[in-house]
Amino acid sequence: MLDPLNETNLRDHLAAFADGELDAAQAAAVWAYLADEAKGPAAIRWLADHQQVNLVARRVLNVPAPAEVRDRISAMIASEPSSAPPSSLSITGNHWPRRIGYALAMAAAMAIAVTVSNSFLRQAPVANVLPPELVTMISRVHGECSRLPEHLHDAHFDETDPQLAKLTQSDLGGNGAPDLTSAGFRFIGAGPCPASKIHTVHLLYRSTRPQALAAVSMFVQADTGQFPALKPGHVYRVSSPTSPYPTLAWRSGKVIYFLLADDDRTESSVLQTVHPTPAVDIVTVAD
Amino acid sequence: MPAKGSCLEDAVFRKLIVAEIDAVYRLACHLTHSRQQADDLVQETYLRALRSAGTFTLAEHGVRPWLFKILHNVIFSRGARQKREREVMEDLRQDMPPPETSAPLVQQHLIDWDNVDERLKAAVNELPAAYRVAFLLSSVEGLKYREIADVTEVPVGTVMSRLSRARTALVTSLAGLAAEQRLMRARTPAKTETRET
Repeated sequence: MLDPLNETNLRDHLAAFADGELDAAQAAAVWAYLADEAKGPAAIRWLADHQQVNLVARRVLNVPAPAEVRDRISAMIASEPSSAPPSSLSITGNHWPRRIGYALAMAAAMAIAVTVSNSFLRQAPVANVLPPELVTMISRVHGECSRLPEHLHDAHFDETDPQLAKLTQSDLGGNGAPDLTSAGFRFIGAGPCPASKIHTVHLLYRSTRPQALAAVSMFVQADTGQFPALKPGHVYRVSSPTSPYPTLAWRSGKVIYFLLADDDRTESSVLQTVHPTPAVDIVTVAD
Repeated sequence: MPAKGSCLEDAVFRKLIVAEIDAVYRLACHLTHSRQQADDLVQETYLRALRSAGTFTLAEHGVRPWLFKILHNVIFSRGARQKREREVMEDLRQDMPPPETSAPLVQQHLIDWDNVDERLKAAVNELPAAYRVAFLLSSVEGLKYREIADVTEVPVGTVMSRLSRARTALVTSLAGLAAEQRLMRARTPAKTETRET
């Protein structure tokens, strides 16, 4: 049981809040602290720094095993006998009639087998279109930054990166950040995002409905040919088990866009608002 | 001859653990600072995983936390045999003093987040292992506090305070870098000026 928020355990509560580990009452206490005029701004700054540490750490430390290690361990796993089947999938028959237990176990095993084999068979297309780690990172940033208080995102797009803002405006029209109000989302703020080594600006939007927590993120990068597999005129729907939010990606020749929402339907409606071409080819790539 | 269902289960289990090789190797590397030792630890972890397949319950544990727990145990069990791992073991038990509760939350120097990669790597390596493990499991591998508590066999409250202290130490280190950079920038024009005159 976590002690109630006080000055001694403030940092622990803030970190757990940022990690989404507090229950509703504990999170409400942190929200109240953040809203305090005197103490709130320092805590918000602290939270922002901690979020940035997480993001940079994921990018920098998330390195794969060398290919020779992976190959050797995979070969060992393939050749080494295991002592017993995993218990979740094993057929014990102690609590279920034997036939039902067998059927359930088979169904579970088949479901997992399909998922796993799909993930193996369809891994290549994602990697061929976009770096999977980038997809994972922007998805995490969308989830984490959208949890932070609004006044942490107080910058205009023009202030954050005037050049990129101008390129985006020439693609999508309007002034400042793209206007998503017709899709039910208002612009909250822009900020440089460390999800990629390539300079990226994160544009955060929240639902215009009172009390609604839904968020939309657009990530924009200058298009210097870094993702040649993205064909202009196509929108790519990228799905990956490490990315909890649906991701759309496209390029205009000037700008690379990533659009993330909390669910597929919202994402499609925002895409219709933001994408200049009324009819686009949507290409699905999935892990 | 094993039943048809058992063959399928075993194949699925192996695919699931193969998919985690990167994560297990990464954690081993960050814990030992040695590729050779990491390589060795990963091999032993997977051997134990295969031998313990019967104890694995997909519904209760994710594959990743389960493998991390085995890796953690391998490091502990080897600690008695090898000096470096003994150090790691001591390090895993080490505690960090809590930050001053009266210390300001705001860092005095704004961090340039685009240029901190190397400093962050070094700062993570300097963390006591118990804190490094908690930080890596949470921030890099995405485990929940309860899963980290299970892997490291400490209460959730301990995980929470380790994570908070680890991140505070990292932010402090990066703020230190920002202060150094500011100092260097402040000194550079002074030198130029002297040369010109």
